[in-house]
Amino acid sequence: MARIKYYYDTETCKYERVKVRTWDVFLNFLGFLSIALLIAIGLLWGFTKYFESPKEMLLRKENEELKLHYDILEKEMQDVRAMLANLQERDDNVYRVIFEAEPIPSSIRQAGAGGSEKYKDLLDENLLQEDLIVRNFKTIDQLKRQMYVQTKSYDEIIDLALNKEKMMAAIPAIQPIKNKELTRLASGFGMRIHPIYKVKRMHTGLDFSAPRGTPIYATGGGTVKKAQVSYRKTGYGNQVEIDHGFGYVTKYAHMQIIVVKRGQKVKRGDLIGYVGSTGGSTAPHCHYEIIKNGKKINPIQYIIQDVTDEEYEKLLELASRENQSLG
Amino acid sequence: MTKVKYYYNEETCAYEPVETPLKARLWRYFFYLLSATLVAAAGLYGYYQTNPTPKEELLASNRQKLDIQWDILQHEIKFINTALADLQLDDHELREILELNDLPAEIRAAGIGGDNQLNSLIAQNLKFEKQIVAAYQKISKLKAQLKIQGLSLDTLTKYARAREEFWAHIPAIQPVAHEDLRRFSPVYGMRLNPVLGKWMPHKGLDFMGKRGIPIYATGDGVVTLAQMTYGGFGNLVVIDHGYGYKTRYAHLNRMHPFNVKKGDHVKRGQVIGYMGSSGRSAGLHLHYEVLKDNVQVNPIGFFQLELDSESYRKLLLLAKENTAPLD
Repeated sequence: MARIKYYYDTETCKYERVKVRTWDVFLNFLGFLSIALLIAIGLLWGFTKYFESPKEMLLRKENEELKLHYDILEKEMQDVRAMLANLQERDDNVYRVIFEAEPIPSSIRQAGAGGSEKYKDLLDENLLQEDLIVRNFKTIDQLKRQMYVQTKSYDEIIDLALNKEKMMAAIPAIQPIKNKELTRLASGFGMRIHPIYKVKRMHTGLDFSAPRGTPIYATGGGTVKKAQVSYRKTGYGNQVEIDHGFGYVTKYAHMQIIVVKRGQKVKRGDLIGYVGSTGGSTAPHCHYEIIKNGKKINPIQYIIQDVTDEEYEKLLELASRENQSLG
Repeated sequence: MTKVKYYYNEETCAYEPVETPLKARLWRYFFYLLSATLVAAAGLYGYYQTNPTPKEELLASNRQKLDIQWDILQHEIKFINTALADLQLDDHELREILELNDLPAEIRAAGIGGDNQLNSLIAQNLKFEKQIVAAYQKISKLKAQLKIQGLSLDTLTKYARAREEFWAHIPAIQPVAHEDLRRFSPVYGMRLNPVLGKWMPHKGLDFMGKRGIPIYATGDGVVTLAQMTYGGFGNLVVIDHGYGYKTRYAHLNRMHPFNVKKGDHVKRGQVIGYMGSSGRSAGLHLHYEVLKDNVQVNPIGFFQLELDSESYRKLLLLAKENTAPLD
């Protein structure tokens, strides 16, 4: 239909050629495009509703797979959570039966291992000068610890200055049994519930729980003052006392076997016997006492050589628990 | 352009209006729409070659959510594993204290054999097989470990309670309060009998005190005898503590001998009778015997004279509180 078109001009009363202007072409084109757009929208809607591309199908299948198994596992996890909560409660109950005290929260138990864990809350708060603040806390903690360690008398410091080396070798400075994981300090110095009498009594030493036969070491150099075997069901049982000089005596009680003799000289770290449950003891453990100038003092202050700052913190924490001693 | 269009008909040599038949017009519309559709389709195709479709976007955002959920799940598994490790550490410690064998590592680890669930998962040809199978394995392992921990805790609870029972039952205090005690004779074995004037075995310990002072049960148990006897013991109380232990309290007061009767359950520190001199006795005293498997043993091993009176008093108070009617 390439015929030339005319229109009847009523003014000139003539048939005139229809001229196609570019503007008209443009408008026509726009019209076409907008119709195409409308159709595109329709098509898209239809396709989205009734068809899916291979890519979409893949995605959908993946999502369904993830969702299905997530739902199953999440249900399983509900079981697991309930089981765990139940176990934790029962675990605490056993702890209560044995130690007559609330169990230690795991945050404290893990403090020795984690170290900076306890500052984490501070970090989480996104404080502006968090670094500075954490550093300050660490310094304060260290100071506190040092102050605790330094509750020694001036006499002792003078003594120390004069006989430094001899004294350093002699006075108790380590734990009587290997305790790298720090799980062994069961009861501290102070008023504790007695495991047999169930009354609060002065517990004059530290209890390190350990299986029968765990080696016990001299905590400082000295002379064995007492190596006594006892068959009584009360008291210290088989015990060793070491005289370290400088007014210090250490006592190791409830031993299974004693391997040193009275008068024997020992160095720090020498084997003196094995853990047992003799005497008034309800479980195998090493009851460790330090007697300074005839007075029983808290041995926790004398465990300094084989522990780090964090471990010491944890030991202090454990020793301060007001629980039941092991005898 | 609603104006009527004309064309020049060369045959009639006249201008004639252009008349398009309906069919042609319809065809024209059809082609117009078809081309618009083609343009639309081509445009859509071109655009979504490089851009995600709305459906894809939706699926992708769902996927994101799922990924986060899975992430949380994995984290929780890790967390529960840590909590479980904590429980296992406790378990280990408690086993040491209760002197039970530690659980073998392979039992603790709870290896899981060929799991049907897992095999069917693998057969399904999953897209995320590695992730999903690993999660199933971890969770079922967790569940198995938790189950084992639960069984272990059953054992621990049983033993902890049994141990408590044991320590509550065996004789562990002196039968006369420290402040009531006038004199204590630690003579056990052969001695000159003060009444008969002969050397005879003395299978108990004597506690001297005023007439009528209270005598306390030295451990929890059942009264098996509370009556006048004629073999020399006079008014006698026998308590069966279980575990092969019995205690005997002899020469009780003639007028008011007993505070308990046969069959009574008594607590450590409960008043069972009053001091006197009935039977073959040369003076006011309590004759106290401890029997293990019906053979006398020296009771000195079953109490601590050094248990100070303050502690003893508290212990008695505790016994009074705990002496709830048991039947």
